[in-house]
Amino acid sequence: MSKFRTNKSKDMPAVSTASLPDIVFTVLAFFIVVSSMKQTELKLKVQKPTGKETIELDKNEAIDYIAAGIPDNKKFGKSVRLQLDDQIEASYLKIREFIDAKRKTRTDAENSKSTTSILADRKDVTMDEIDKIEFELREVNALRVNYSTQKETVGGK
Amino acid sequence: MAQRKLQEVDASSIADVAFILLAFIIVITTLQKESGIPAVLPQKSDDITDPVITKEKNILKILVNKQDQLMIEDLWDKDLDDIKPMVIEFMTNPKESEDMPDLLNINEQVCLQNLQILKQQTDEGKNVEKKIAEWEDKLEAVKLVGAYKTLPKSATIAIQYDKGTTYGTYLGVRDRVMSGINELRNSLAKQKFGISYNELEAIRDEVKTEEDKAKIKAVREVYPQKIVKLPARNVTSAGGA
Repeated sequence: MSKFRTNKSKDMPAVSTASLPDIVFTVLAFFIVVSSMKQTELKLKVQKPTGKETIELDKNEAIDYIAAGIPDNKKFGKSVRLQLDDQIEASYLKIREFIDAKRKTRTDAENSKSTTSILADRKDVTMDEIDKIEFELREVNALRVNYSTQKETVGGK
Repeated sequence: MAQRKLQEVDASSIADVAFILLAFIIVITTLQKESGIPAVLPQKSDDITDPVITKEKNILKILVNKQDQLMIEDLWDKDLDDIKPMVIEFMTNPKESEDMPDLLNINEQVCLQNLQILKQQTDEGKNVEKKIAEWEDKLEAVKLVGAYKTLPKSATIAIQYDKGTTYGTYLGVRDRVMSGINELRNSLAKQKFGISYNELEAIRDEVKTEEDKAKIKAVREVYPQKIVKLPARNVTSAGGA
């Protein structure tokens, strides 16, 4: 037996794909982190209304979310509450602080195009609550709103 | 004993597994796009200005009461599906009915005439900048879609509601009103530009050309979205009506 092996074939060795899973897992981890950071858990019972004219919002525009509905957790009571970020609030005045705080994290150009999405339950929330939310939004001049809805499928009544 | 070469576990399939996971996550996250019905709230200062007195026929009154019953133009027992045709009739007034708004005929001549008058007024020292901008927008629209008929400035679609009206019902009404307006806008855009209004709107901001924006503006000029949300007082039930 010879000590030095002679290459029987002169073929190029295949490129090792052993590191490919690592790369893909890194990308995967990145996506998981980014997507879970964006949305906060909804602690209210919210069933969106349906609408035929539902359109998708521009992803590039900043969106602040105001949710309204009855809290899942009974310790917050059985009446309609707001959820701003993670906090469940009973006072509508908090909306002003919330919008102000959100604005500080963005540039003026972004703020001029930002939208406030109202995520409210279709049955539990009445127009009284919507009016209060809109009143506060007008106070802080956040006039672009979006009534969050689900696309109504054509034909369904 | 012959030394067995340590066999490495074949790892090439891990990449496939990871790719499937990746694809799954991407699909899930992009599905959660925010969607809804956009609206612009009136400015806070609008409350102070005197209420504009509008002729009865220039308002399309839609009312939803506490029991989520619907009234259109003083008639009870209406269905959500009745709204769309009413909106279209209101905005186009095809029979030139007396109870519907008198539409304004807008063409190049009218625009130029008005602009001339306004320029004279500016020379006299009056501040009519806002009106000039309005007529210039109309002129732009005429250049794109030709002469058109539009609602008078004071015409509005008023959605009245009670404090106890559920949000879902109110939004249903608003949605149907939008349906009516969008149908008109779509057919106009299709006829003039060969592309529906919704498609124009859906073009992403980065690829939207100035031309597209002008087209959208022109269509909006012809069929403006004038929805007013009014809290109603003393709304009684439909009982017996």
